[in-house]
Amino acid sequence: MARNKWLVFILALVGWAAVFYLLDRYLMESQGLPVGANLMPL
Amino acid sequence: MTFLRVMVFSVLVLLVYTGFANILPQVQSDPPAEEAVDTGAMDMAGLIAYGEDLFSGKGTCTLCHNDLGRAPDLLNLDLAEEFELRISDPKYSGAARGMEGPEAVEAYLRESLVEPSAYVVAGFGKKGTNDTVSPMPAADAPPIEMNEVQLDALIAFLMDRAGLEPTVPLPSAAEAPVEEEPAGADDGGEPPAATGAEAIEKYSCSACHDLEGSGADLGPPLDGIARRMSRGEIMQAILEPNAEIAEGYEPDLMPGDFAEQMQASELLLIVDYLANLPD
Amino acid sequence: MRAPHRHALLFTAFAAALVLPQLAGAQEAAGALLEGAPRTTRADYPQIAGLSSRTLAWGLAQMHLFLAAFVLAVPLFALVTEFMGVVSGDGRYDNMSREFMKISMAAYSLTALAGGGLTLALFLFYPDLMGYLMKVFRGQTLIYAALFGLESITLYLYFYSWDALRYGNRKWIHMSIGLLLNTVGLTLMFVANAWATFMMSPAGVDASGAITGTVWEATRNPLWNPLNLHRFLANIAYGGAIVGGYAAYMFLAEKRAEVKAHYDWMGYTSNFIAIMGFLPLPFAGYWLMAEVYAYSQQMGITAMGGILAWLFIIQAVLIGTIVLAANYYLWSGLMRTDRGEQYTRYVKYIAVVIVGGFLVWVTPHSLILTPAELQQLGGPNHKVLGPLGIMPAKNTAVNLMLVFTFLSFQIFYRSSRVPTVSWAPAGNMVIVALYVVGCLNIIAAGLYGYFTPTVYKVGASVPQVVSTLTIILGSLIIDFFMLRGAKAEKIHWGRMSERSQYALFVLPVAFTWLMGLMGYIRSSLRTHWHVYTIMKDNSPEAYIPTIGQAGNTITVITLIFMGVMVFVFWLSRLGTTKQAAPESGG
Repeated sequence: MARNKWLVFILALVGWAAVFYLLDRYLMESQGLPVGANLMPL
Repeated sequence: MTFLRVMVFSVLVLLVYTGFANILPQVQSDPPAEEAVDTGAMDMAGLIAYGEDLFSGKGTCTLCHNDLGRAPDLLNLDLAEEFELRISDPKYSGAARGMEGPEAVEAYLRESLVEPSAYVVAGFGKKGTNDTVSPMPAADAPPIEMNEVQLDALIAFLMDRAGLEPTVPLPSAAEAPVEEEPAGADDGGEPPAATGAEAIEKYSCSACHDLEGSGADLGPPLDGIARRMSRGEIMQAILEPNAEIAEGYEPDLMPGDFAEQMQASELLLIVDYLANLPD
Repeated sequence: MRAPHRHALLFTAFAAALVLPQLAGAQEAAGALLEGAPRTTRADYPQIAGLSSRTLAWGLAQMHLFLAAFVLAVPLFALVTEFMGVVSGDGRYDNMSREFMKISMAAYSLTALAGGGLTLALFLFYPDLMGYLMKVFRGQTLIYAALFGLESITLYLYFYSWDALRYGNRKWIHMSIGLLLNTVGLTLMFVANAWATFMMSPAGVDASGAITGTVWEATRNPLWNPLNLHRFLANIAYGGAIVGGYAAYMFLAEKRAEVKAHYDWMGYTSNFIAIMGFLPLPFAGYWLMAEVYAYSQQMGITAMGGILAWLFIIQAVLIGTIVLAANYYLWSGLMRTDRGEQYTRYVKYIAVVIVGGFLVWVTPHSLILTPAELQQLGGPNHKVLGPLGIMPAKNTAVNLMLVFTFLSFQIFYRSSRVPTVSWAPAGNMVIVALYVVGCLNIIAAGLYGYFTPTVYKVGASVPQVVSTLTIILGSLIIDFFMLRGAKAEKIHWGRMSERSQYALFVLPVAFTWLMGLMGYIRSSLRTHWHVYTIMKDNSPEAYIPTIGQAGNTITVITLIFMGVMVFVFWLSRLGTTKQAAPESGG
């Protein structure tokens, strides 16, 4: 049971990471800010 | 008792906020002052200094043109190099296209001031417009409202910083800028008259004086007035009509508010016009 | 005079004040269509008895806004609470809902009074501006006047029919009246917002102020909807905070255990409403500022990077105290349940994040330094702390503070419910993972802002807010399923420390002062313009006062408002007080 819990945790971490990544990409691009391009130091 | 404790507690909380507000740096922001700058006697050095003054003053340029990244940091960039790069940028298709030398820089600067979206430096455009729309307001429109002389001064200042000899004209006496529009001028945004004849018509002088063949005789004839009065006296007669009434004519007929109604440039044009009337 | 008659009189006077200038202006309106905004001189601003016209208008406007925010918010959560009562079948909700309305009744006429006073002051001291605004908004002012009548009618119907429309289908009729009341109130606010935002971002007029568009176009100017949303949410938070203060006071003053329990519950509910309204506020505020920047970069920078920048540091202090107070109250609430004890160990971690976030938020970027200080510092910004002063750091701090405030709330409601579903441990892990990834995302988006140009910095704040909302919504949804059939722990309402109630006093005081501060900022954004870029302000007091002066003014107005609210609450208590009949044969 305990092992199950931690497995779920890892899977959830991966799952949520995917969700947030997609969300970030979508939100930045819909503002016309292509992510990954144009990274300039201050 | 509870009531008192609660009230005292609340007042103490309020005093903390009030105190905090009072210990911070205190800055009062006044509306731009009504300064009439005498540009009649200005030389290029003076114009450049005036431009520098405007850059951080009325022009509010430093609000964005600083090192925080909102707009090109004009005071710290190598302007000579920058201007060169921009005018020769293949994306650039503005007024300075194809021009060379200081004139090109002047044209580019003037365009940047009054038409900022004509060319937007890469990375500084409005979000989502792919650098085609500039967030900069036009410097000659409200709320900045630079007039011709002030624009020239700014251009001179920037050209000087780029190590170039400014190519803008020096202001003449006829262009004496007044910071604020004369109080009460209700022209609803109409631009000032550009010629003497236009000004005469605008202020309906021929309604009472025999001008432009009107034949009116409520006021004295003005032909050959330059022989009777100096320019200064003509000016006074317009601005303070009741100070001296011509013989045989009535007081209180001529409008006494031309001082508020007319722009300084219009007054000078009218005086010029009248001074040149034949006998 | 009895309340209904007083209202009718006020309404008529108000309507007359609005209608008469309209009628006068109607004749000229047709011919004057292409006339620009008036250009005023100092002489056009009446000086009366040495009164400071700006301070008077400011004070009346602020009083009106405080009261209006309150009377718009209360019917909103009264309706929601009433609905919860119908859905849950628990009569306590209905009683509380009615009590919300009762304590706010007196405030309505006071709101109208302040509004009437404001109108008079504006017309008296700024006749040209008001004449121009009337010309721009034409018939809408009549609609505004009519809405007041409708508001009064629905308000009285809603309150006085409570017992007559108590159960069954009639209850739904009652709630429909409540819905109508809220709709009318909201519309009133939207109309007034149109005038305020037109002054900042005019639309429907040309550069000289001549009317070129319809009233709807002038209404739908760029800042209208952002302000609508911001004020709608802020009203809810504000109303909750004020009612919470009332409940906290009653809790402290009461001796009887069951009445104390009632007020403790009321305080908790109000705090909950305040937090719910408060959490999305930064998003609405962000949208408002984004629209300000989009409309005029200059106006935006004046607010955040120019002369008004320090105000946002004060704002940070105020919101920091609000967040801390709200959290402290929630942590104290853990003592209401027997299980709550085991959650108290998390409190210190939450406290670290909240206080840390607050400190980051308070750190300024640019400091106004003397030359000696400049030399010592080695530049205009502190080498280490300076970077904490710019937007990415601040947004990160705020979002984390909101997430952890929600966490405080979550552990409180979890402390009173034991999940009985078999997948509870797994479910908890999913929630924990959500928090971990979400917070990392917020931090990552913030760091991203340090390596990118300004436009990206600003853009990166959107994923941050959405992350916060995702964490909150995700947790709520998972909990909804996980707590199905959960074992409810007894909540000992009334078992709260005295200290915790003071947290509920901080909320309304801080909120009120904060509203005053934000109003000062909003008006100052216009700098020396009545209507930005169109009608210049040539009054003798066209300058933006210093923060200290503004702070003093806001404090005085807040104190007056506190007095008014004490009066309002006292009145509602007076309404239930009965003097004992004298002994007969005396």
